[in-house]
Amino acid sequence: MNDEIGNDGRLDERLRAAMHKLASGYQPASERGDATEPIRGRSRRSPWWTSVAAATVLVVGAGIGVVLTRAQHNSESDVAAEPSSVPTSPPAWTDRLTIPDIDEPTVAVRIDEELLDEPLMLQNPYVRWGDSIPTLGSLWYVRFDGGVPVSSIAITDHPAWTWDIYEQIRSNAAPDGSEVAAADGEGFDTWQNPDGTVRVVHTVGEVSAQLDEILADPRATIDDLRAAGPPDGYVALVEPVIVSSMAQTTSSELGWLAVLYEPAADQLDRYLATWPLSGDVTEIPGGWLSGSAEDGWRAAVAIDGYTVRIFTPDDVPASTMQTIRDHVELVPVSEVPWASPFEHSAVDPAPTPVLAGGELSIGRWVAFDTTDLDGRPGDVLCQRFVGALRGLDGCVDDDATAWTRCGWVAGPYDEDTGRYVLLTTETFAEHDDLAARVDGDDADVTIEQSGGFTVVYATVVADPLDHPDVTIVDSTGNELCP
Amino acid sequence: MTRPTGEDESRPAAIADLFAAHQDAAVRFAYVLTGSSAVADDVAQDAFAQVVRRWNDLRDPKAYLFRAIVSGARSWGRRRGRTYALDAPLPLAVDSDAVAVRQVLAEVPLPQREALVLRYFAGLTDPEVAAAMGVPLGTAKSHLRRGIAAMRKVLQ
Repeated sequence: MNDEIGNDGRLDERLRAAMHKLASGYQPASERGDATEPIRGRSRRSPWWTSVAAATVLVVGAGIGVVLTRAQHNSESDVAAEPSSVPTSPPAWTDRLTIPDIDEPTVAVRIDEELLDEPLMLQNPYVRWGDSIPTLGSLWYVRFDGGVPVSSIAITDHPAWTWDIYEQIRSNAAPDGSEVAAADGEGFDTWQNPDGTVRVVHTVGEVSAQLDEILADPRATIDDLRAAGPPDGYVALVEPVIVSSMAQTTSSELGWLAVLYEPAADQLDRYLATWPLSGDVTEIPGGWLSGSAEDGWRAAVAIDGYTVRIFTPDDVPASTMQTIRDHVELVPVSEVPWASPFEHSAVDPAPTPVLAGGELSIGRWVAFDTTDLDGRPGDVLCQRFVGALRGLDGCVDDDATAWTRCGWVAGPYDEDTGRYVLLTTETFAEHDDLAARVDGDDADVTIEQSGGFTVVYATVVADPLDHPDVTIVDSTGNELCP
Repeated sequence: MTRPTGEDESRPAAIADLFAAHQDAAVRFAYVLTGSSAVADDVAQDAFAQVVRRWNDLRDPKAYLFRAIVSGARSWGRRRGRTYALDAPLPLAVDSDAVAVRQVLAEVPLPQREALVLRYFAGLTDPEVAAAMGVPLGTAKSHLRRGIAAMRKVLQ
């Protein structure tokens, strides 16, 4: 769609020309002498193309895929994750505990980019129910064939998605202006609801007649689609589900939280650096368990008031759905002898994945270490909010949308509340009068300190796309930096 | 660019081809995005490294390369607390438009800069810009619109 964004041909041409002239300012290392600015604490090194070329040669010579010169990268954080003994059974104390049943299927789904008809470039190939997937929407249903996902249905009513679909609707409007079903030829089908809202459905692969029938009703809403459940052959990605990386999910019924690592996913190597994946399942102060499996899922977690899950399978293949239930023991934390995780503000010994957890007005939360990401120990990698704001959780990694300001870690913008959450491992006991400003103006904020963390909830009036500048200040107006 | 499929022996050559074809564009793209030659070197190197690492999983290595550069530039900015370096001297040949554009790039929010550079330097289409930024198309267009509006103010 060529809208007003690209209609100013003269401006477009000036921009193109100007940027290419700017690009001529690039100076190769050989021409700029000692001006090289190290990143991540790296020392100066040879011109980058020599490394890449060498790596390419290495690939050519070895005939294998990925053995880049990672030693050049952040070597201080590349802590080897060496699985040792594989825990094959839950710790002994679980014998004394009641293990609840799960009525809902628990699945983890890996969506391969190859499966889909467009490059998704997923940050995390594992998706869960309702996950937002770039260029696809929110995934709701998946169809499997022999354990391999072969078709998926994504549904979204997010305004950002409907933005350009409106254009298609206008051009494809029915004569009476009522129901419109537009397809853009890329798997998107669009319906205009009676109230004027637009529903967009993206399907990959076939869609059963059952779903077609539901979708054909212009009065149907996305809630209707969800309530109707998956069409024949599809599996609804119901919660709770497990995803790789810093995964977290909750169930309002069972109320459990889980973290899972899948070592085969190459993108997770950075996390392996900070996750203490070694040895048998062990207790970590803070109420967490950690362990490793030699070839499969890793990790076990606990959270106060919730339940403990221990993953010990050894045959979980990547790219397939797995029913975790057979491999999981569920334990009410209330019955776990050591379960008082939120009394701990820090975790030792290091390295540890968990910095702290606590009770806040939004619910329970936990935070993870991100030592390897920026070289500064004690930052927060993931923050998880469980309870009232279940949707407000996220990880701060190299690809996350969260941003930082002055050492604060900010969580995702919550569209429902209009709030950002800023988090730091520091406390400001001497500053009980903390305030926040957004783009220089006083902001509506709530500041809580718990478990060695300071959490600031800043209601941001500005368009979040502008990445408003949020600062934390003391009573004198001085910015506080952790 | 579409990578060859099912031919392991062709992969190294394909990687080399990708590298040869796009190394210059990649580093200059990173330079325009960050304003620093040194940072551009590192960001581009890391991006190529990621492409090689994920080669078997990529349908469009070139697109992933630019995606990785965008991500790398973000990471650099996050670590440094700034996202653009204005300390490098501009070449003498740069005209007033380029100076103005550089100033805007340094001032606009990062997503807008990413969208502008992807569009006008890398020559990507709007859907490609969205994919490279990892955002929905509508969001990318929103960033583009705001960025272009900022550019229009200084180029009029």
